[in-house]
Amino acid sequence: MSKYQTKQVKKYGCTVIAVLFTLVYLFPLYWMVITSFKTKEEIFSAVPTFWPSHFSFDAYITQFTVHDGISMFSYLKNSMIIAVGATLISTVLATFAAYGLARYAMKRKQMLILILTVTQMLPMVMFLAPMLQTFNKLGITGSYASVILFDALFSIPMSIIILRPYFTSVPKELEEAAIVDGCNRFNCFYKVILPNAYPGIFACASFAFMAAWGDLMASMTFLTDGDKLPMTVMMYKSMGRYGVNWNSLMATATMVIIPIIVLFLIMRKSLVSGLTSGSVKG
Amino acid sequence: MKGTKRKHKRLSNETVGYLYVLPAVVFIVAFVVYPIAYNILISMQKYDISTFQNGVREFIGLTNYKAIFSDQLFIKSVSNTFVFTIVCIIFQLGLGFLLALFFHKKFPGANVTSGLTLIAWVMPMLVIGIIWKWLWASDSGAINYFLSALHLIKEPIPWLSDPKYAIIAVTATNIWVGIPFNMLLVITGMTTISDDVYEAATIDGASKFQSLRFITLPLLKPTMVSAVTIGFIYTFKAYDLIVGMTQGGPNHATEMISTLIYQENFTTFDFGKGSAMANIYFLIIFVVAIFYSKLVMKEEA
Amino acid sequence: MKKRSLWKRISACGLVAAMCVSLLAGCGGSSDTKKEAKKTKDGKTELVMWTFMSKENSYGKAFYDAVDAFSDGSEEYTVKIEQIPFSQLVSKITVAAQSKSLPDIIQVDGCDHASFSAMGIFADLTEKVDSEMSDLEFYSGPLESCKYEDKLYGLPLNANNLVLVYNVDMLKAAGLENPPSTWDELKEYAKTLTTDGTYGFAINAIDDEGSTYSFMPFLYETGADWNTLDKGAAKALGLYQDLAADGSMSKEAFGWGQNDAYGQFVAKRAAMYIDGNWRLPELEKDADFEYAFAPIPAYEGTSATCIGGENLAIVNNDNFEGSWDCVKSLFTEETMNDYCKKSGMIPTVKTFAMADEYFTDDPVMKVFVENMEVAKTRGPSPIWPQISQVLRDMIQQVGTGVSADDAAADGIKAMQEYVDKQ
Repeated sequence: MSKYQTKQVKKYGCTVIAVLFTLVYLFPLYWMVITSFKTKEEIFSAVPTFWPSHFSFDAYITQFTVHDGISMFSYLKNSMIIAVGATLISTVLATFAAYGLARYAMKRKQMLILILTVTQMLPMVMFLAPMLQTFNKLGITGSYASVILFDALFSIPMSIIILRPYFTSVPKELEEAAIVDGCNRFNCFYKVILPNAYPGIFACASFAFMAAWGDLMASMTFLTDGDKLPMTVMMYKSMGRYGVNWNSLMATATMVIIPIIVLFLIMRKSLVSGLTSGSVKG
Repeated sequence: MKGTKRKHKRLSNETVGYLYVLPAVVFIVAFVVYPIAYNILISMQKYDISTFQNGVREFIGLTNYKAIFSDQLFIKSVSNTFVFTIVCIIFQLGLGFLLALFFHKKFPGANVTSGLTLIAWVMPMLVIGIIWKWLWASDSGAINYFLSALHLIKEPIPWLSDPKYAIIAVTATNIWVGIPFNMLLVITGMTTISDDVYEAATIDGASKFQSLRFITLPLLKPTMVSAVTIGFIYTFKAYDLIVGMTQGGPNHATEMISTLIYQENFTTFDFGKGSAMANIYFLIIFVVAIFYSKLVMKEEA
Repeated sequence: MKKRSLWKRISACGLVAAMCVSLLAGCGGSSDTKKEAKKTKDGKTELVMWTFMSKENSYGKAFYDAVDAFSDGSEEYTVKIEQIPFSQLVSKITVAAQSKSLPDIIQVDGCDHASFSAMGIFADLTEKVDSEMSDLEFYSGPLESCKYEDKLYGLPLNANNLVLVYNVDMLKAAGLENPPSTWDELKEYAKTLTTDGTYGFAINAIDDEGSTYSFMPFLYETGADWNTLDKGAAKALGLYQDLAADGSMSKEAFGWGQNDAYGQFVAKRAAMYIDGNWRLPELEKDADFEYAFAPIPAYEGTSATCIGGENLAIVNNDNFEGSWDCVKSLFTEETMNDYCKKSGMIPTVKTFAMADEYFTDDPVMKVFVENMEVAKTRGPSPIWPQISQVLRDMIQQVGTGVSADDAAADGIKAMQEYVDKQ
């Protein structure tokens, strides 16, 4: 075989391995999806069945019907609003803060880092009661703002921790060259540093989005109107007092993650283009 | 804006730094001071069913803390949580790193497949707990099914009903959840290392293993520090997964600090004790944050 | 020089201001009076009710309809129902109680009721019930669960109790005509019915309240109760131990909740199990085999069973009158019987139950209704959660191989603390 061919085999060999690995790795996801198509007896049968013997779309059909006066699209819309809102706030604040921490020497830096990570130091559950009181006082209980603010608070530490290395890895020479060229420090941040840190920013924005998308605690505590509830709550409705509708639960869970997967595949493209658009080379 | 900035004296670097950090800090401080103060306060009060509505919350100082430290279950949950967290981080980052080495290579589909594994991280924790509970089931679970089909075990292993296996099952599941995240973090971290550096090394005669050891790892240190810090913080709070899989059982084998705090607050309704436990949790993460900040400061030097 | 210190001062001020806002926001809240009741467009006061019932099923719908009927008929009040998933209900109530943001009417599970009553968040209904509901005879068990310190802090909405559920086809196939009526028979049957892929018996024994519920009948049958564990806990635990030891019950049972045990039965992986009348609608839908109910096998005396169910409580606030009117409107024979028939539940008002032949004559319901006379309630006690935990710890220990006697001894010791508190 020519050298080119061996290289090709190696490349595609890797692809095959990667695909197999991913398929095995995502077996639980497969299990979740096929369970949503199974009937209750099959779910509990003695020998696990790897393909539903009777395909039942019931679980999905009921998702699309209106529940308690709330349609699935309402849940979807609310999840979007909350996730996008929380992601915007936390990513913007975190980007500035991470850059500040990465590039500037400050006397109180250690203390600042501790303050910025403080929301992660207590289990979320402990924040519920005091924050409900705060939100009541501010009059925002029951509004999207309460959940968005709450979720943003918890995403900021992680976003900062993820982003900082991206800013530190941008070579100092780039900045210095830009300053010499005449732009002030803030402009230089926008035009020179940020483009180079895109992968990191997309990474932490995606993680913040996913965290807010999957949040249940905040929505359950701060929202009162059924119309504002996000998709995660819809999932809990399959878990009634006296019975769990397994196929319905799995169907809802599947629908909860589909938008994320779609979003992710879209963002992945920008991530890749961000990486390859001549960013790293000087 | 440019013009006015030039006219006045330039702000010092330090001040500019503070300004970048200010928005996030103000946002956090505004919302967080009350909850933290509230928690510290009630952890030193007798705040449970009996004192709830009357408003007379006796100040009892450190009594709650003394109580939880003499509670065997609390001590056990602390050790469970530490063991669980540390083992998870080691494997999540270790395996994630190895996988990153593979997926970082340029072959068709590398990006898509590695990205798809993130689904493991995106799936709602509660659902993950339920699904894996079925997978680990000793009689009808897929795992035992495969293990016996491959003739690796003779009898089904009671993964979730035996204390020594339960903690393994729960840890393995959490590792599965965390590997993609770590892997992706490392991959994107690797992209910041320009290929020139590797080329130069190979020209100099370095083997693959040597470039790994002397180039990749050191340059990835900031990313790894992030990954370990985030890993610790997020794994330490494990709650939904445990509840979905074992409820803290069997016989409290998988009881974690977070499940105990939840129980103290919402089953026993002893808010004072619950807050005391939460503050111990706080101290632990605080120490981790101090380590992280020290490492960050060291990097700067 | 000046610029630098000015910025520093501004940021410092900003921080301090933020802290003050935060503290004010929090501290102000605790002395805040309860929220103003909302008024809807037509001038009616809006009351809020929390329930975990969903309009999706027939009985949930019946309940919502009944509440809507009240709203329509009332000139002053209208009720808005908010559905809270059951697993989140207690935490939501607790957080709301701490933040003084409770609704007006809440549906709570019977065994949680006393704890909340002790916290003082519910209104005392004793007088109202005595004066306005004197013609109604409630079953004592469910009514007890609403009591705290001899006062009534709610009304029981529905009741259920436990029986042995068995797969008639499987029993017939094994040549067994009648269901087991004693522990020994239970063990025998379970052994006989255990085949490849099926266990003779299943029960929920995971670390949650449902497991305590299922355990209580066996405990009661030995003559013991939570505060007299020494009378028979070891024997009751011994039953679980024996069934697991000879393979007629899966050891996984110690990780099963009520729904899991049900799932096993309906998938024909267990021939018998313990469940309650709430399961009736589901069984009808899911089971494709003949099933029947029997009293829980007795130990040496008679069969015993335990009561469960949900209650409605009125929050201690300014909207008491309206809330009371609404709750009262739900306790009519028509409403209650309709709701119970659709959900498989038992009316908590004996007067209503006796008036309807569905509850007195139907062969299936009869068993459950008759049980109401002898069934015992858990507690009631504000520290029931802790008591329940001790019971569950014993069960979990047995599940991990500790002997029934040792587990019982540990339990008795741990329970002493709570017995003393009585």
